[in-house]
Amino acid sequence: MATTTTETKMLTLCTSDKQQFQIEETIALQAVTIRNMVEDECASNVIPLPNVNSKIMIQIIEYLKKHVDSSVSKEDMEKFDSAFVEKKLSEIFDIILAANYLNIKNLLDICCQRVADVMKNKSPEWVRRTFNIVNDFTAEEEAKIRKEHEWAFEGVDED
Amino acid sequence: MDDLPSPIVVEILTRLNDSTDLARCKLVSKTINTLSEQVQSINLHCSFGRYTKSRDPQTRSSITPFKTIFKNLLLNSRNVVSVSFGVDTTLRSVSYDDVEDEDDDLHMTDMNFVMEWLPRVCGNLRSILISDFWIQSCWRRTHVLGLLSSYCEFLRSTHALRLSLSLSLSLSVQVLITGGIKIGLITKKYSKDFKNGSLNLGHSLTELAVKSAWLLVTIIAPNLVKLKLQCVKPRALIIEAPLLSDLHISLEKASDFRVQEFCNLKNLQLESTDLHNLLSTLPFGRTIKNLAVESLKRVDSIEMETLEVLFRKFPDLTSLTFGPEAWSQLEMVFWRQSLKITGQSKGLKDITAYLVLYDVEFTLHLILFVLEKYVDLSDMALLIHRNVDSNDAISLWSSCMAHCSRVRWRWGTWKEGTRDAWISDGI
Repeated sequence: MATTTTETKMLTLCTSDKQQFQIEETIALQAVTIRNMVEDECASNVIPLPNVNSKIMIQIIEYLKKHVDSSVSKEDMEKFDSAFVEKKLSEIFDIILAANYLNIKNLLDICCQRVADVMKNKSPEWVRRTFNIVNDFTAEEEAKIRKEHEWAFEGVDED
Repeated sequence: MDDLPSPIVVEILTRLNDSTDLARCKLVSKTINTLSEQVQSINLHCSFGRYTKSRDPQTRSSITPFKTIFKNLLLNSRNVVSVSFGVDTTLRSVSYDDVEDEDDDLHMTDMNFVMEWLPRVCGNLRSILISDFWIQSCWRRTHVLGLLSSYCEFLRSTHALRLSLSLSLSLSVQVLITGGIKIGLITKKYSKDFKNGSLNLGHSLTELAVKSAWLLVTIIAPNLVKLKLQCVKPRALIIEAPLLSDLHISLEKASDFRVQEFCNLKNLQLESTDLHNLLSTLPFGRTIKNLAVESLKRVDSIEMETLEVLFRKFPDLTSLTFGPEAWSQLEMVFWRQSLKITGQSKGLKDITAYLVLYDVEFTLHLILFVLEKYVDLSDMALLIHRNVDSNDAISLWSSCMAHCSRVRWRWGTWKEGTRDAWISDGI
């Protein structure tokens, strides 16, 4: 009995920690950076991604695999996205950097939104602690800005 | 977060989507303070809590007036392209009976206030959304729409961009601007909720009447059931009102007419100087049961194919009304071109026509043609203008009834500015 096989074109991605990932080309091409490399034929058999480590790459591939599937309903896709960003903030930041480098707009959008959602209705002190941001204002500068924006401090969440 | 590239931090700050959150973030660090100035939108909404505090004598002095905050925000932002401000949803549901408030800090469409900020930012603005506070605005007059349209080039020149004014504005004020840029907006219908004393603005608005000579007309009203719209030649006419069931529209023509699907639209009243073309290009019609058409021009807005178009566009039609000018023109077309019956149309149950009776023969011929064409027709109501000679009227009556006993005839008279008077009901 004759069988027909459709050959799926595969791409090999190599992360910063020298891990290799073999994925279908259609999945990988959602990343504009990879698409450009393939189109410009700069890519040899293995595409090096020196700005992405394997731990983040696994998660990005999970995202891309879901988003290439046209059978997923809009509602299910939204559910997937909101579950996907339920991660530690440090991880979200790593994904943001990778998504920015790989140029995956939707992924960048949902991660930026997740960070913004976390910051909503929080005090500056809470934001500094949570995001490890050093307060580089002098006491006077800070007091001045605070005074100018006193109105914004009503009804802020308790830290 | 310090490791993120600046454009991404700006993107995150933009996505806060609230100028209050953004203002607090300014205190986080120098970098964020600087980057926050690149956020191009202002989103400021007064909450119920803030409003209550601003009225309580004990806390009143500690609350910065809303308009001051808004003006300072604009002053400190560069390149603002989008502003959205007003009262938030909790305040939109406050009823007029609940509070007495003669302040104007939340009267967002106050002309003096608008003049304080609009000229400063109008060059870059691409979107404006104002949610006015009903309690303070309903009894005040505003010409804000005219002001916005004269300052904001984008409102005049492009199709894609949108001006949204909270429906509380349209509910609350009578705006009629003449001269210069003409735009008017009149509405006085309130929902049942209002009578019961709990007006939920925006959501309770079910009837709206808009009169506008504007080039861009956008109506976004999620719960609107009835809409009366009078425009001249809007370059773009956009209606998003999924619950609409009655639409009365009067316009010369619209080069770009876009609507979100009207699933519930049953009644349509259409007046135009270009009736045939408007009917042919109308982007909806399948759900309509009752249709009334009138021509706003003396000649040539109806063509031979108009009747065919009607039945192609409105397959579910059961009732059709012709205004006097539309009917007269149809008579003329019929007489000149001697229309042939090209097929019988089903479904239509009743026709009402307003007649001027220029010539009894003309009228009778068209009536008989219509009776032959619409096989399901069971009611025919004819209203004759009061100035018509009674002998002519009687002649038409007797001829019609002699020719066709299949339908129930109703007779009456009409005159501009008065109610129709029925002489006989169902013969």
